[in-house]
Amino acid sequence: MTRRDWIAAAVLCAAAVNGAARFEAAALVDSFDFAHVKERDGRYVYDTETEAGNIAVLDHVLLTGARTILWRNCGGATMRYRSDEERWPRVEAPLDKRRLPDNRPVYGWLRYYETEPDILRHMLGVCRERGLRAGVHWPFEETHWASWTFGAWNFEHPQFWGVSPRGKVWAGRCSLSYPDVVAHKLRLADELVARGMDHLFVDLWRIGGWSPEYEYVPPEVSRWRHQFGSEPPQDPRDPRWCRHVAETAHAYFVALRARLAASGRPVRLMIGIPDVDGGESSEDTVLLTRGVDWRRLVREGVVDAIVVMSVKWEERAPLESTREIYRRVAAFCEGRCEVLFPVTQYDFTKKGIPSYCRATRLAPEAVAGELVKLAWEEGGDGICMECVDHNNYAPATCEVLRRLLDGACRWKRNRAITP
Amino acid sequence: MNMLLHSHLSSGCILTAAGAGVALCLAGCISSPQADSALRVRCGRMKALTDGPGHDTEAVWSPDGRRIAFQTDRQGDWDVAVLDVADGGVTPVAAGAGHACYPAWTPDGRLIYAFGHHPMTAVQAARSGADCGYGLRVWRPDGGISELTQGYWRDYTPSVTADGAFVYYASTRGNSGNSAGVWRVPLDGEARAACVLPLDGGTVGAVQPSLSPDGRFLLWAQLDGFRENWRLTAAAATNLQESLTLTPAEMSAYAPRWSPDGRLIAFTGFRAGDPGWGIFLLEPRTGGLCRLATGRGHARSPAWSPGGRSLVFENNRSGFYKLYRMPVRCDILCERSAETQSSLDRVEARWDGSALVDAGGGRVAGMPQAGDAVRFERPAGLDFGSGAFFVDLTLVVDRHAPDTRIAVVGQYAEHALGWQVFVRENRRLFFNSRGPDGRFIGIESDDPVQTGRPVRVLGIRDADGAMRLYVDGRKQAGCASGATLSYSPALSVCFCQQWNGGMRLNGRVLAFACGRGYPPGVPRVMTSAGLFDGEAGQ
Repeated sequence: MTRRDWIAAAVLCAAAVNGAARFEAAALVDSFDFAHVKERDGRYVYDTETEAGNIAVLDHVLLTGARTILWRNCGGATMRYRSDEERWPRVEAPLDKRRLPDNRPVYGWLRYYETEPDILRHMLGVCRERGLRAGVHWPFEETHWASWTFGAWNFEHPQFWGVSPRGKVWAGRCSLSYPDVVAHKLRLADELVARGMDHLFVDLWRIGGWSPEYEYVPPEVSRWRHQFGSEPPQDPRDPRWCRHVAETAHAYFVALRARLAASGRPVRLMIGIPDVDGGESSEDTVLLTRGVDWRRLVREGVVDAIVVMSVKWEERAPLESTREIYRRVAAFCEGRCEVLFPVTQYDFTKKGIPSYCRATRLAPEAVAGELVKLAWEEGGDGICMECVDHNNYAPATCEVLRRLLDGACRWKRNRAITP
Repeated sequence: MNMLLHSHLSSGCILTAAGAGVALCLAGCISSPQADSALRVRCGRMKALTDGPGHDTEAVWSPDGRRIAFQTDRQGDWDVAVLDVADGGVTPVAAGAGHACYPAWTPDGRLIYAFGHHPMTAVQAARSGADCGYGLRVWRPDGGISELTQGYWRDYTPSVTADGAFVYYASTRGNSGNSAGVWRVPLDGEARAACVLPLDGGTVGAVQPSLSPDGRFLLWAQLDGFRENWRLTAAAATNLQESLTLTPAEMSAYAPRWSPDGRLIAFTGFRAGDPGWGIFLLEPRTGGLCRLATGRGHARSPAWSPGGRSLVFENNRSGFYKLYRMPVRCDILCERSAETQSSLDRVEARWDGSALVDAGGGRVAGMPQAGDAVRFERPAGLDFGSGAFFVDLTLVVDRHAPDTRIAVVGQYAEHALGWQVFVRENRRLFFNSRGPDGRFIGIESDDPVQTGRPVRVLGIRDADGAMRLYVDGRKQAGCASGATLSYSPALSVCFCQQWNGGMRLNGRVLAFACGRGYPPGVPRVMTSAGLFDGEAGQ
């Protein structure tokens, strides 16, 4: 063993003796993403409308070393379980002609919302039986087409739709400024709790409509006029407007927190935040594009954990700037809530592992290892892996992740005993 | 008791009156930005036609006026049933396992409807080669049922032409995106189904097509992107490529039905401030628009009686959507088409091989960049404002790359990537403009670009924010709208590279021109007068 290995072993022993908590590895999992995976001979690998198919999905996900499994409850092809709240009207295309059909085999033919048994309830149970943390990945306002917000409830309640500054209504978003909308969301949370959810991850990265742009609805405009005696700014990215909208969003999260607490089940509330730079300014991306003041949610103890979805690292110093951002976020969250940092193969933001590879010339598995260690060293409570699709995390990357998560980074870092 | 209301269009409000509850129904006229005429509407007493549990929707009146076909989920899945208008009796005509929906009458009393039955999981069906689609079926009064179309796609929302010769319908056949186009199939005979309005790509579609009673115009609901609203669209039946949008972008509008005399369109709509889904009447020539007051609950999917004196629609005031009938009389007070002639104020820039030359003869020399890239600093003639503009170029792609490569980009203060033509990693061309907030809005070509040969690309942003893309003169199936960014003078134009120097095209630009309005020979945006009165478009 090298000196470094001995130190790591000593850290592990010391952590175990001191009862340190496990360094968390969370995975965002969407059965939908596994539905089209084929063998070379053209056979489908996963039948994700069946119990066996989803257990096969879970087995694949566990290769990453994840111990917290956050299942998508909706998105892509509407609901992933038999939701009473989103049952009517039938949103299956073409039965509702307002929904355009997804024509990709087999995506467009999936009907998770009719599957027996209830997939979400079943998989949360399987996770608990295996000693895993069982939770839900709730893309709060995802509005890619065919997503759930273009679904039953929204289509049935146009009177609550978002309105743009130009007076354009839009089905993709219902405003939280209406009590009926909040009640609907809370009933959805109830459905998840009833299915055995222990961790609720509300993903603010996935928006589309989760934006102050469509909050020019009568209650918000009236509240602005009453408060400021003027018309609201027409630029939806105006920080004053965003802060105004954020008050409504904040009230919703407070209500959600209370609802979860009242359920009698200790549900951990997590939120995912994108484009984090670690600094505190009115230019915060989450505030300007989501209308959510995540720092206030942390300060007031509304959320139990922050999941950083991406950080604005610098091209000229990718890992160094990442470390600095992690350090600032961890310092902000210290004593207030847990924080998970991203180890993301998904590169839509151009800030995931592939982009790190281009900037550092390191292999993906090396980047993944570095990001785990950075998260651990800077006091993170864990990591979060996004879009753990079939082989999205390559076998070599999974091996590095498992080695670290079961080894040097098994326990959360304890400053007193870390070399 | 009927009442007559008429308000000037500029009032912009819906007039209703309290009175005898549901029985009293008043409808007023509301403003339409394009219209300076009015509709005068009188509505009679709403009468419930169906009751009990389950939803009854998508009603259509038979040609003889004695029956109404509709879909019902009383038994769990959708079935088609027929209501006898005289005695209220309901007879199932397509029931059992599977969904039977969207009935449409033929002139001789048959019913066309969409049917799909999918007892397996999607993967099980794929493994077994089972049919996962929705096809059209024909029900005959003798109880016989036959297939009209069937396949691994979805055919739905059929309508039958007045002469009974053809069925128009929405179909996903051959599509790859979240999309649906318009198809047509002969009701009888050997001819095969044909696509008459291809729409594919990301979240675009045309649903519920129907031919006007005189056969001259096709009408449908169209969606141009998931951030947009459904809008009513019409075109000459002989040229569906040049269509006219009939409803404003601010409202959601779908499920259109021609009145029997072809003068009005009834549809389902919602605008900011409405209490819910409502029934609207539209006079398509003037844009005159009127929301009918139908009381509590959502009102949707209107269909005309054969004489045009009543509407049947669904309303959920009872908790379930049930069918209601309401007498309607609509007088069109002015049929003058409200066209605004816009001057095109032509501004143009054209590449002469060494410089961009504007309409006044001003020249901005191109600065050679790496490879075949060229950069033009502050060229004149590209300040398109918020009106229509075009980008017309001929390019050659020598070699495809695994990522996006730029053919031409216009850099503006409003957005560095103001408009672009580029080749994606999937080897298809893309033309994009921007929404007022800078949001990317664009269209992809139907096919990959062939390497080693000149390709003519023409991108158009219409004044209403709609976009079009032509490749080698052929209009592409994709469509988009909402691109209403106003362009001030350009900061730069770059050929074969991004404005900041990256994403270089493995190829070259052979010819380039751009400007306000439209280049010669290209169909201009359709106008109401152009479509309905046969006048030239703007």
